[in-house]
Amino acid sequence: MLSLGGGGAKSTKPSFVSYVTPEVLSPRLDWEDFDEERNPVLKHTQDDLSQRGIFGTLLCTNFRVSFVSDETPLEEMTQHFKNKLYGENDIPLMCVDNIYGVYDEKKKLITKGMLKNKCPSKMIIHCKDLRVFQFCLTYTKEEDAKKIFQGIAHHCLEPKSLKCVFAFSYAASSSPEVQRSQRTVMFDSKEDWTQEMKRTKANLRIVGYNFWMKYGCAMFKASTLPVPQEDGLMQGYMERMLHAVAHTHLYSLKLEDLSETLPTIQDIQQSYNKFKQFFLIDNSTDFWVSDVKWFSTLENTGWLDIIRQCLQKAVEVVECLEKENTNVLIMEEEGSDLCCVISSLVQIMLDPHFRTLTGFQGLVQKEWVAGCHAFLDRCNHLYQKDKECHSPSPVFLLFLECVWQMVQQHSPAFQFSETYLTVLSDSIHVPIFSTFLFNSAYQRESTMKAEAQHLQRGPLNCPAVWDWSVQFDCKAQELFINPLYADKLKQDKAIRKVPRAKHQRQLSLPSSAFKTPPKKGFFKDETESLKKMLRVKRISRWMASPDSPAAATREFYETWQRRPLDYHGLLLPCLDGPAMRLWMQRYLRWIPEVQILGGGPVAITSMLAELLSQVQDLRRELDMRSCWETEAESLQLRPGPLALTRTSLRLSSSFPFASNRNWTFKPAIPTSLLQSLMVTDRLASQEDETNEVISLV
Amino acid sequence: AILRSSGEMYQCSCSCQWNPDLEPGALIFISCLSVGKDVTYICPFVGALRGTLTVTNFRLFFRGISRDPAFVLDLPLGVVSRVERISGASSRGDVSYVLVCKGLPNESWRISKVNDHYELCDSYPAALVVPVTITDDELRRVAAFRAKGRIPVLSWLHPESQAAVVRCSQPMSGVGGKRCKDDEKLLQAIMDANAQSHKLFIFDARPSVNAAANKMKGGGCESEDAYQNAELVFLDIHNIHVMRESLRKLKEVVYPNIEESHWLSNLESTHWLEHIKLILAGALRIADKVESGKTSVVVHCSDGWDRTAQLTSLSLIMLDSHYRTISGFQKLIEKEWISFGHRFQQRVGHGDQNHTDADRSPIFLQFIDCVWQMTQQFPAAFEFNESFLVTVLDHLYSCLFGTFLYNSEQQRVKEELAKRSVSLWSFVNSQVDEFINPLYVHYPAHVLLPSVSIRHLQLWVSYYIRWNPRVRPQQPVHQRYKELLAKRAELQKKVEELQREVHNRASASSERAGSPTRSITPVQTFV
Repeated sequence: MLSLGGGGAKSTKPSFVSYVTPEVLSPRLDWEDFDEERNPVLKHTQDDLSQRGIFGTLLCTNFRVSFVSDETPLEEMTQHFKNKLYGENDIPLMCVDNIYGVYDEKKKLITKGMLKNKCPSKMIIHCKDLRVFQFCLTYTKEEDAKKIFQGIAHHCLEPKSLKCVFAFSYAASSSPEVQRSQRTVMFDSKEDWTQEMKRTKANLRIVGYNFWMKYGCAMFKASTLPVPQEDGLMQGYMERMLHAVAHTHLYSLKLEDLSETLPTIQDIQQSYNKFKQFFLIDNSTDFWVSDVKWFSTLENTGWLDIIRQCLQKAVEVVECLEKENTNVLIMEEEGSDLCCVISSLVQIMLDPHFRTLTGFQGLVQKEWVAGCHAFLDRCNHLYQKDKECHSPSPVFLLFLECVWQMVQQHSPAFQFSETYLTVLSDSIHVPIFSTFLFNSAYQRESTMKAEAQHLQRGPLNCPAVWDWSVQFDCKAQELFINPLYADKLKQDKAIRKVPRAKHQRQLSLPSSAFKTPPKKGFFKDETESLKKMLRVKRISRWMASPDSPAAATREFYETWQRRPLDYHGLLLPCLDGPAMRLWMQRYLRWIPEVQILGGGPVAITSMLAELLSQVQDLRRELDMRSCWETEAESLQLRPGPLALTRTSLRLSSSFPFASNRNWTFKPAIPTSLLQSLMVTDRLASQEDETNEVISLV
Repeated sequence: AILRSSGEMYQCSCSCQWNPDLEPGALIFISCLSVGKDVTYICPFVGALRGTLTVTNFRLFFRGISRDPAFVLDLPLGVVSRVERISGASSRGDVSYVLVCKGLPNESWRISKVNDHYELCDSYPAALVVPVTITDDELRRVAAFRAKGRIPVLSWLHPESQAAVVRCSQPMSGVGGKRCKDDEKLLQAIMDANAQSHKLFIFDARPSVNAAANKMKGGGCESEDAYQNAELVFLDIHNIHVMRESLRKLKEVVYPNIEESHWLSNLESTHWLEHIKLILAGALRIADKVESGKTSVVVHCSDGWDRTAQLTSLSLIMLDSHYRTISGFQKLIEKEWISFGHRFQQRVGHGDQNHTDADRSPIFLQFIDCVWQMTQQFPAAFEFNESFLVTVLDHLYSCLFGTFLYNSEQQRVKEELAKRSVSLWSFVNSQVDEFINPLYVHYPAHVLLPSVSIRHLQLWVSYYIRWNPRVRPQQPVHQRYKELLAKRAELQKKVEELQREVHNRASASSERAGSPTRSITPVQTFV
């Protein structure tokens, strides 16, 4: 065994020595071509806290950059959540965000022009799913190192044409029986739309809005297919349709121009670029240094604020629809970026159907794919440098972030889990799915047709991302389901039983033994008197200024909040500062310093899932017994939660991601305690017991 | 009437909780749980003794009747680690209880009575655990060298490695670097008590600057020259004044309105979470040294009753799963905080009007906040839930219960607190169901290593901002889990019933074979 760096303790990551020939590469996709850059004798180290690494082979195909280490991975752990398409050490080419080279201890961003330069001693790859890979090339023959480096850089940095995207060779070679096992409505045919309209008709309150949305999208589709460039025509359609809607429903109509009130897509891009840097961490020292000013740096990126603004806008729209019964027309320059975000969010808030897994997938299909969100440009799949006409921006990710905030706040209302959202956000950068590859349905169809002709085959069959079996097996897919989800049936009962948790104020009061004075409207009285008191004192900062734009929706939120919570009715997010949280699972999952071993939210969800399956088993058992009453075999109860929690002891908070990394049992202790808190207050130097000391003297 | 003018966050609301009928002292003495008369205590030194055994909810008290002077055994329950029942072989069925105080006394540690009348140190409990090799006279000399006489005493002993967590106050080395032979011997003895390691870690909770500043006032820290094989580590936790100021700023940020757009930077400017991080990081280092290093540690700050209490109790929670149960946590507070003289009265300001008093500081609140952070990271490792922690904090200020009154055990004994007031724990234990975490799973030897990165720390919204009507109390997870547990129990019962019926019928039908079986009404299985 070779290991780099000192230290006696067992390495946090397994060390590898022997070399593998590519034939051993098990998860290799059949349709994958190996490129010239195959380089079987490249050694590599993956740096960590302890500066040790793994030796192995680095190769680059037309789908991915892949590192093959030879130690058989720890079985058990790897089985949990395995992506069939790419493994822990594979990076799909589209997922590469930036490549850095380390020349003489200096980190430099690799751009196209630098390819001819000499090969760096270390190559750092930042991925769009926030993984960071560090490959050390010093142990490699210089020629090989140069070859692989240039190969990777070429594949990842050069602009390419849509034709070269791996999806087409994948679709061409994948067996035709990989059918879309659809439960998701794709909204690519007229029937889907009529179906959806029928569905929403039932719900009269929201029909005005939904109707419009659907109509709008249908229009979009109709106009983009034959003549993709003619904006004027579309404008005409819009106006006529608008009138139609307004007339048929006799409601007033409100125009909401998003480009005036919300950040531009360039702002979003900038903010996200700043934001993600704090999660692409190269080493432990950087980690603890960035820990010090964490909250203010987070705030300075503005990302959370953008999320808040989007949710805020969505709540405003909901208020119009719900309270004032006004139709709303949301518009922006192209009508397919923030419009998609807001309209999808509004529908999630209003309609419980879109909080189910299939409903949500249908929503994305309807608002984003059929709604012609320019995925190809926004995700910059083709590495176009021309930022003017293809401004990249993580708009779809922003939408997922907003949904995540809602899932976080009202998790029983959603059928899907945060893991699902995380996986979905990763899948954007897997160049296999037709869902995220095109700017419009028109582009999709024409490209597919051309490509099929080129390959001289029948119609190409690109899977949609919703066909999760392409990526995960059934067991892994179970993690997409939120065990907290309250079904409609259960909900009715639950409402009667526990309308709302006791307010915290009452929790700690002795209830039986010591009775509090019965005082109704206790809280209200108190705030009223407080307000009165404050008015007298004229302390303006204590009062919320009524002019702030948020004030109106705040009232709407508060009236909603006072009503008993119905997970199958209207759902509003809380937008207060403390309520906006960081999507820990997505952003922190690869960072070893923040892993909580045997803890984290996974501890809860795994226990819940286990219990849920036990209840279901029992129910099945009971059903069976009441049918065949004579059956007398003894009941075999499944092992209790203990069996699972024993394994969950070993799970880290990043589960199910990075689960086959062996997280260390060593605690992550901050390295820079001293720098972290410079309180230059006089208080800091003040002695603890000033008076005591005096009295002693 | 408002008895206290708390400098705390929710002044007006606190007054509402006060019920004048329930003044401490007006209540009967209920903390005495049981009195056993005519009990025999088998003393390892003097043999069997007859007397009365009294168990209150925070101590165990035995008074012998035969000897003169009366033999007294007084143990805070905190040092009792388990009670074993030994069934006598005799025909009369005598049952005697043997106390196992964490395997104490053992060959390296003994229980000293040198502080029996609080003469050695007025802020320590009467019974102290010290290394066997140190005599009481030596302890007295050590007491003269340690600030406020708070000598190094055992707080926790690792059941396997014998690594010890020892707490004390700063040495009075002063500017001249005074030394004390007995103190050095005591620390050496602590190191020797643990055969696994030949090193001792001394954790000074203060920043090194503050420790140096203390030298001017006669205090200071251990020099590594005087204490061989000892390594001194500073944990950079700030003093009570900084913490008080931090909480004041936090209050301004969250109350009455929260500024949305600058929420995070405002939160950061309070430094509250940074202090929490430093305390947790300190406790984590202590726990790590004890658990993986198998090394004994000595923890102190200036006086050893604020930061030291935080650090030792948090590291004990990390190390010992017993302290994560409701009863264990109660013992932990009784032991590390109440017995070892955290100055509750001074820090909270009970019955004191002077709200600008510099001795006030939210040290205990900060400790509970740290515990809460850990419960967030390990949702299944604690037997108690959030409302338990909130309750403890509420009654820290409520004065309903005697638990957090007065500064030291000596004062409590003098004021006969146990007789005149109710313990918070008797209230808690009377309705323990409300405080149970349904997700709790007991893993016996599970050491918690929380992440101390500020990325994982959050403001305890449901405590600090609970009065804000917009903050929705949410614990849907727990609720759902409870529902499911109930459902499972119900279904299990039904299945068992059916099984029994089937069984009965099978036996019945075998008696009168051939008779047609009745049909059972199908069981409703809706949820």
